[in-house]
Amino acid sequence: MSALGAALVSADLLLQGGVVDLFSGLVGVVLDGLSKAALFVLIASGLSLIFGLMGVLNFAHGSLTMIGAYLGGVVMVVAVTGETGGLTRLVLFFLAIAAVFGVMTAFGAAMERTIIRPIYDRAPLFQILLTFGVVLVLDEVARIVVELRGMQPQSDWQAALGTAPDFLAAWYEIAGVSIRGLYLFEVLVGALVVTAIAAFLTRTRYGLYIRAGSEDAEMAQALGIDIRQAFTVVFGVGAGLAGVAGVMLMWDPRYGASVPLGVETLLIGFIVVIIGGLGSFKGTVVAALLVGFTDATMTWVFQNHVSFPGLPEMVMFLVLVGVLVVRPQGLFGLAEVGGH
Amino acid sequence: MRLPLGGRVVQLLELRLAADQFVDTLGERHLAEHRRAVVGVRPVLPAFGAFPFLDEADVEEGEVVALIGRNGVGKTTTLRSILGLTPPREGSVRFRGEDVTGEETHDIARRGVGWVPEERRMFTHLTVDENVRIATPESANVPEAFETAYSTFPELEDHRGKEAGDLSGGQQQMVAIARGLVGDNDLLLVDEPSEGLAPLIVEAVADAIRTVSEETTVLLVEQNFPLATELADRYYLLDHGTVVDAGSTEGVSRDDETIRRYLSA
Amino acid sequence: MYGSLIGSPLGDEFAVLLPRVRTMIAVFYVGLFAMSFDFVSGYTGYLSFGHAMFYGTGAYLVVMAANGALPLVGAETPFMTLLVVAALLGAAFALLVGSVSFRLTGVYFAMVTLGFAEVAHVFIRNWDRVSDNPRDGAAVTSPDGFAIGVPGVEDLQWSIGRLVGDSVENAFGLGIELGTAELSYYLIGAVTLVCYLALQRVLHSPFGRVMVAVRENEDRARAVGYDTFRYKMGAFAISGAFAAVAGALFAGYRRSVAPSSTFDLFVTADALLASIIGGFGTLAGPLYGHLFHETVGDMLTTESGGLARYLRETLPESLLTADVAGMEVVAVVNVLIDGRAELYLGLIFIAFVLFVPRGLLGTLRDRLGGTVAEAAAERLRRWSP
Repeated sequence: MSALGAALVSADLLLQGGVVDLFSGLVGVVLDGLSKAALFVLIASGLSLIFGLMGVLNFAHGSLTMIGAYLGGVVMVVAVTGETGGLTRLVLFFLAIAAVFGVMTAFGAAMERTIIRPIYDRAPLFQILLTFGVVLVLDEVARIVVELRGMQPQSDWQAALGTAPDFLAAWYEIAGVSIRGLYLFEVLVGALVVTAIAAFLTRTRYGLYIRAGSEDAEMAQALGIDIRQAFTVVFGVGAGLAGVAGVMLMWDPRYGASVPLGVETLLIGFIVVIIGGLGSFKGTVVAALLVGFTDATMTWVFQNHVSFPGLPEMVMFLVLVGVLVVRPQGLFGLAEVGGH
Repeated sequence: MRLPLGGRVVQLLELRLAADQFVDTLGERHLAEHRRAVVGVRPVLPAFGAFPFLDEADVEEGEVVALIGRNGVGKTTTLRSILGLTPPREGSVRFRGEDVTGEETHDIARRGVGWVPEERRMFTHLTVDENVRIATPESANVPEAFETAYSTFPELEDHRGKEAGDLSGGQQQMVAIARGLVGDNDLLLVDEPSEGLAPLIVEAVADAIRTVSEETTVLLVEQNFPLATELADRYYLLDHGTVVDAGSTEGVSRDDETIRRYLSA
Repeated sequence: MYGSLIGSPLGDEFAVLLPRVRTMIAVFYVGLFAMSFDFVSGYTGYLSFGHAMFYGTGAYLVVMAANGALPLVGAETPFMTLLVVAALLGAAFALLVGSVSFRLTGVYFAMVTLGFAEVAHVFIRNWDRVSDNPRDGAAVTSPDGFAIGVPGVEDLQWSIGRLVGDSVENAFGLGIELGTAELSYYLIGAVTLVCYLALQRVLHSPFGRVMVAVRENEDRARAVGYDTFRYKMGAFAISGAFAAVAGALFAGYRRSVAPSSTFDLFVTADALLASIIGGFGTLAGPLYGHLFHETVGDMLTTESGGLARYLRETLPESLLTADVAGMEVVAVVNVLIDGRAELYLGLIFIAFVLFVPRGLLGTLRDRLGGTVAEAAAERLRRWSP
């Protein structure tokens, strides 16, 4: 699915030749890589915050993204009619992001309070198991609701895809490469979210607590910080960010709202967070760029040189394995927590 | 030398702890492995037999009290118990006459108990400023806290924007003490401040503790016996979680019979 | 036994409550897979989150060999040989994956094994040697069934499979009649039993005790002189081998494979569910855990014998059309019961992780103070005169 955009980009490439071919190929890869990196950072940032502070690898993160995609879709499908203008649709989209962020944050906070909290003092294994159980339940609930509405849970929600304004759905020519307006918009949204999270982490008192708690939760407590409350807040915000990623993906024809979106995004999130390193938001951003550009480059290689369609996904995982072997703590992780 | 504030002796801290919670060094290492993990982890520590109670120990307002003893006799654990980080299995911790046993660590800290831990425990990726700021209570004035910290440790002023992990050991120790200082604490728990520092730096750190002790009461754990006795007014000598000797530090020397017996390895 | 219960006046009710023979066959091969997962994850504490890749290896080996798509193991290779090849291949892949993964622990180990499994998953979905359409998997093209029995003795081998399996009219002259399903059940059950005993043997050996030592305190195990890396590799290889055998049995019986039924993360999830519900770190537990899984799945199936169909057929019309919060009862049944096993299993799974972390068998053993067999024998002795 993710190959579709680049497929069209490189179909364009094949028509040209020589130096122009190489140059536009490069531009195509850069644009594709940026848009993918933007999506990946959206997908991974909530996971990264939670993993960083609590050491909990939340397997349900992808399912939260999937639910966010459907919720965002509901807002858009209900509010948008054939008449609705492009700008209004854009405003509605940002309202949907705000609404989904709110709902998912509340849901995440409730989840932390009820089922995550009792297992902090157990082996990490149980956190994986528990959140994986949540995946089973959330995916099935989503499937039930989607089927109740007479839709196919396995395939993308076309009605939601159709609510994107025309100027985003259209293709534009940049340096001889055609790119969908939406992909450029994704870069913008990704940059906005990264800026917002970075500001939250560095400019607010709560962000300071989170950065300190990620490094040494016990010391933070001994300085009078209610770390349990911080856990609840961060789990909530992490879930909210998962929802925001979902709303963005709901518009993207390479992804779209569907139940399998959960696992698809979960695996991407894992790769990015682990390559970036535990407890480092900077690492997550760098890793998202790295993985995004790897995906884009390999998609280009597949389109032009190798006839193996699974190439981008396989190389992404091999990069993960390679990084873990060389630097178990990830690119920006703390050495002493690596390997645990 | 006692400095009863306001002219009367105020009992600040009373300890009565079950000694069986004190563990050997292996247990402490186990603990160290866990402490960066999620809070709330209560590792099962190997206990070595049932020891008698730690005799009642107390700290009065304005004092500097030292806990001395060999490695692994329970000095650090005592400090952790006061903060509720290693909650006492039996016994109690009373602070300002109130029983704080079983309270959450951050609540105990907010009552005015500060901690300058072993190995300093910097937030290495936070700047010096941020390390100071995070220790400042929400209600307190941050610029004032900076003023306090940097007037006490002028050397840190030049490194305010640096990540604490990039500082030298001595500078990190100053940041750790500064964190305790700006926390508006009534009691500061200081654990092995001279550990791993060059003699010249140790002198600077000792000066810092002296400065701090003019403002706050200090409970000090220190391996360096001459330094401990020099800084403290009173001492408790521990062995296997039990107080085996106590008294004023005045005129005490390493060569005293009891002290030599319990300090030699 | 099953037949007599189904034939009884309460047959419909039994049909809802009891698993079918076909289901029981799945309990064996998935149960064996879950046991192999538990063998490494439950006993050494290293969560093998990519375990499906070994299961898939065994399954694809059988189907591709039978279709003549592989070198060295041609279409005429006996099934018993394929089981051994599957085991060797599973062990080899496990050593390969383990050599990288065991540099890490905890969450990271789980992640990197999952990473390997996903690489394998993507590969198998795109490998054109599998079939013309590798995304949908492959099916055995020849009409011959896969035979289980004594190698080399034609008379002591019987084919398994739903449609191509053998049936026996008069087994050993004892008048026992076995249909294709029953015969497959006993044959696959026998292989599973042999594998269980082999795994059990390993766990009770000094090797098994070191595995548990690794789980309890790896540093200490290393400190007393065990090369824990080699023990972990050994355990992982054994685990991978039996997972591949389980996959081979699955493919031998079902005669077709697809990426989603072999290499998928949710195949590993089946083993996880079985292990947690049955009892993590109890070898037999996962088998019971999967029996539980299949039983719930069977009760909530949309097919005949499912609770939903039973309710629709048994409940009076007036009740079915009655309103519950604005919905007809029949709609509620359709939505909440019909084919919804995964929802309830997920909830049960969460409840087990939170409240019964030792699982069914583990908790039972805690209560009895020993293995069930020991405790039962002890009680029988006490009651006998």
